[in-house]
Amino acid sequence: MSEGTSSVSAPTPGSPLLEVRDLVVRFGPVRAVDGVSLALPPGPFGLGLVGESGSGKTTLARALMRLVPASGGEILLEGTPVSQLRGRELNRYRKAVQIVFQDPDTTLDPRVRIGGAVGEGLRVHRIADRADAARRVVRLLEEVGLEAEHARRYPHQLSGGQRQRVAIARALAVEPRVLVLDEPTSALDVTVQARILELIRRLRDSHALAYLLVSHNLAVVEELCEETSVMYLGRIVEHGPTSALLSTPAHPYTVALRSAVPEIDLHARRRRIVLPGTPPDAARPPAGCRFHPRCPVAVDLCRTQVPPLREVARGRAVACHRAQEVLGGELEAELEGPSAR
Amino acid sequence: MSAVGPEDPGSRPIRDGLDHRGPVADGSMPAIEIHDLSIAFGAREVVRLEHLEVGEGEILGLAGESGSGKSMTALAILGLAPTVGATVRGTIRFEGRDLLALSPRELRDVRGRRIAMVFQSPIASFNPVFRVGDLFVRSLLLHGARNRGEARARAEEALRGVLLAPDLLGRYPHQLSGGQAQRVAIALALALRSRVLLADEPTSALDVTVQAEILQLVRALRDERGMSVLFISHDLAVVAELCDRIAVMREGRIVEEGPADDVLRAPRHEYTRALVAAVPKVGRIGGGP
Repeated sequence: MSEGTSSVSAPTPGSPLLEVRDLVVRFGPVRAVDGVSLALPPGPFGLGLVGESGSGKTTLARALMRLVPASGGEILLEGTPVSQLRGRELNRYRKAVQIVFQDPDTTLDPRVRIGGAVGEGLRVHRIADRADAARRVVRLLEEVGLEAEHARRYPHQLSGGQRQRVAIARALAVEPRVLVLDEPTSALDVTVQARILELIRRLRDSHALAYLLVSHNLAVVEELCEETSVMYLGRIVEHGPTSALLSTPAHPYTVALRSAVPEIDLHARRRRIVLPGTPPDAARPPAGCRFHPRCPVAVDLCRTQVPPLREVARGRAVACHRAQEVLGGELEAELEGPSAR
Repeated sequence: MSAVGPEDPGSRPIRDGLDHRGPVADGSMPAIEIHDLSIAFGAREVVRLEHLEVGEGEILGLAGESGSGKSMTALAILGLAPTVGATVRGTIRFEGRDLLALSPRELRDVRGRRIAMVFQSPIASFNPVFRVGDLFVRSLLLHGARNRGEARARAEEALRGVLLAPDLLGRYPHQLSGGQAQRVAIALALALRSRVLLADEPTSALDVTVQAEILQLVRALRDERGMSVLFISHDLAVVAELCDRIAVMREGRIVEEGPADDVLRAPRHEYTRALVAAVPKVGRIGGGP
C-alpha cells in the first residue's frame, strides 16, 4: 500500500505548524488519499498542492478541515494530533484552520447578508460582541478590497470575484493560523484571478499566513508558494521548492503538467505534452507506478514496482524510477514524444 | 452584463478583416460575417459590432471578460438571443443567407447542424435522460441520416475521430468526465458535418492537462476538416495557443482585432494589455514569493 510514501519531510527548519503523516482517506474501496505526507511551516509560507481532477487534492483539503474522516495516518497542528479532538478542542482547531472553497456561490448562504456571513465566525467563536463584530467586519471587508457598504448586500448582488473576496474575509475573521485555499480562482476570469492572487499575496505578508494552495495550474502556485507537492491518483509524486520543481521537473507527470499551462509569450511557447487517456479509476489503481499507463517514458520496472518517494536533491523528493534521467535531461525527446503537436 | 457607456475615446475598432492567416487563401468568402450587430435588452444595448467575420477555415478567438458580450454574440449567431429576452438587429451572413432573417424552421436546420456549438458545461447542456448514443441518433435522424443504423455508424466514426471509444455511446451524460463530454460535443459537430464550430469557453471548467487535449483537438478539426471556429474565452493565453486571429471585446464592442501574433506581441489597446498581463505565467518570477 503506502510503501515508500512514508515521511519524506519538507526540509524546513524548525517544527511544522501543520503536519500530515501518511494520511489515508477511503471512500469504500477507493483510497482517494493514499499515504500522503506534507509539512507546512509557520507563516508567511505557501505550500502548493497540484494535480488533476481526481488526484485527491480536494479530498486532502477536506480531510484537513475534518470534513471527511481519515482512515489512516495523522494530522498534527503544532505537534498535537487532531483526529481525537472533540467538542471545544475541535472548535479551536476549526478556528485555527480555515478554508476557502472554489465556488463561493455554493458556500455563501443566499439569504444571509455579507456582513452576517463574515461576522458569523466571530460570534460562533465568541471573539467579539455585536458592536465589536460590526466594526471588525468593516475592517475585514476593507482589507480584502471591498467597502463597508458591501456588508448590507446579499451574495447575488456581488460579482464572482467579490464573492470570493467575501469568502476570504470570512476565513480571515477568526484569525486562523492556517488557510486552506481550494482552487480559489478556478471559477474566475483570468483578470479577476490575477487580482485575487494579488490579494492573497498581500494578506500573506500582513497576516503572516501559512497556507495550502490547491490548484490544477502550476502557474498559479508558482507566484504564491515556496514549496509545491504534485499529487497523482492519491499520492505525492513530487515535492520540492516551487522554483526548482518548475525549472527542472523530475517526475514525467510534473513535466506534463508544466507543459500544459497555456502561454501567451510566443517565445516561451513550448511543445505541448498531451498525456494519453485520463487518470485511471482510483478504485482499481494500476500496478507498479500509478502513472505508468500514461507515462511516455515508462519501462518494465514501472509496471511492476511502486517507485518510492525518495530524495533526489536537497529538499526535493520524487517517486519515479527514472527521476535521475528526467532531471539530467536525458529523456527530453522521449517526453515530448510523438503526441506533442 | 454591464451597460455600455459612451464610446471609450481610446477604443478604436481596428477592422482589417482581410488580414487573417488561416490555411485558406485570402479572397474566399468568410464563413460568418457580421455587420452592424446590435443586441439590446430594452433600451440597454449590450453588444454593438460594426463588423466581425470568421474566415473560411479560420480559428477566430473572441476574448474578453465576463459581461463583455462575447456569449451574447454567440447566442445571436445561433438565433437564440431572443430566447433570453434580447432584441437583435443587423445582419449575420452565413452561406449566403442572413441568419437574422431566417424563419424558425430554417434556423433550426442551421443551428446545431451547419453551425455546431460547444459550451462551458457540456454535461449540463446534454439532456440527462438520453444516452450519448441516443443523442447522436436523434440529431442525425433529424439532420439527414436515413435510418438508425446509418446514424449509429456515423456516430461511432465521429467518436473515433475525437479519440473516444465507441462504447461511450452507451453512457449517460453524467457518466462522462468533463473532457470526454467536450469531445462528445465536438464529435457531434463532426457527425453532422458542421461547417462552423462555436465554442463558448469550452475549456474553462477543465484541468489544464485536459484543456491542452481539447485545444489540440479543435486545431486538428480545422487543419484536417477545414472547419471554421469561433472560439470564445476570457483567457488570452488559451486564445493565444489556438487562434489565427483575435478580436478583443469589451463592454459590447471590439476594441482590438488582428492576427494573433500581432495582437499578443504588440497589443495596441490598453485593455488588451491588461488581459495579457493577467495571464499567469510559469517562470515569470522564476522563484517563490
